[in-house]
Amino acid sequence: MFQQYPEENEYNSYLDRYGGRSNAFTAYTSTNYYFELFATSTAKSPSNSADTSLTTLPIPKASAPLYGALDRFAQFFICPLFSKDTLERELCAVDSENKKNLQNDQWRMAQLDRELSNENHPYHKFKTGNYHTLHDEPLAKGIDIRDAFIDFGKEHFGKRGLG
Amino acid sequence: MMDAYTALIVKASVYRIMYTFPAASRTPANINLSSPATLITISTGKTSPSFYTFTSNAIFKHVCAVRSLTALCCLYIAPHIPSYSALHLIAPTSASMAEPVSDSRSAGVECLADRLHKPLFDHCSYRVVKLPNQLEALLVHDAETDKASAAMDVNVGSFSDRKDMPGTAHAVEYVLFMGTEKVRRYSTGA
Repeated sequence: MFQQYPEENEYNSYLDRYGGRSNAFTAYTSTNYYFELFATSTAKSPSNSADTSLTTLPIPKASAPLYGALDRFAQFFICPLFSKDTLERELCAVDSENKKNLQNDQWRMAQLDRELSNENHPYHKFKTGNYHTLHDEPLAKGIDIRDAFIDFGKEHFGKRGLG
Repeated sequence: MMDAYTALIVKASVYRIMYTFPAASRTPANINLSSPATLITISTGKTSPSFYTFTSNAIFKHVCAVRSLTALCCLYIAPHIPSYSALHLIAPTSASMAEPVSDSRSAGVECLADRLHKPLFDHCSYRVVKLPNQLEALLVHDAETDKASAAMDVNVGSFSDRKDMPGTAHAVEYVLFMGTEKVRRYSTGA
């Protein structure tokens, strides 16, 4: 029953194979991960099918790529590695996203809004984070970044579920 | 003040759903949105309404397949749940989502609501189930879609960032998807 997902990006390559995509976003009180892909790996589009009754037939598990996607997707919440090797790269990705946001007036206004709010409220925080707040500053304070992430995951995602 | 189900649905409206549950379908087992929780959204277009079991091996198993259905599952995971490895993610067994969940393969699955107020033109079917591990799932069936999708919404965000590390939640969003234990187990042969 076990399947092998030997590549780090196997999840994405699987989605690619079935015309899928994935993304995620972090909000104030939730973090959302999602994907979509073709419902079937074999059937024709119903609109192209002369026999419309076919569209109500069940799609066998073998030709429904959702199952494989769910299994891969689930792993991220069950046993993520928080791989040391990729940490730096991902922090750069966060930093890059923030730099992109800096070019966007809406993002700037949003952070300004946060900045002007009550500093005792969590809304006040710098939401996106960047390389400085997630790497340089913690390191200067002697914080192990990876441990901090794992702790965050353990605390909020479930004790045995993550980390 | 929103009731719990309304809150659930509003939350799910991030995708496309925004309905309220009729009072008649409310059950005492209210969804507690005030606690950290997790939401999974799964839709299977044109595919069988599926029974997935999140086994102890942390694998979704296909248990049952019926007619063309789309299932959209929103699973809330309460913090007291010992492990995701005990997750069960299950969609209705019957071809009609209005029928009660009664199959032995779905033992312990409680149907919380399956009648929702929705626009007349809405052809989707909806059901909220509670799984044996207390996960609550919103299932949506759309027979006209050719896409399948799933979403997990973890009830923690940037409000929970540590003060000395702004962006932690955001960074975890990125880092979480960098490899899993299962991958390592197989790539190292361990």
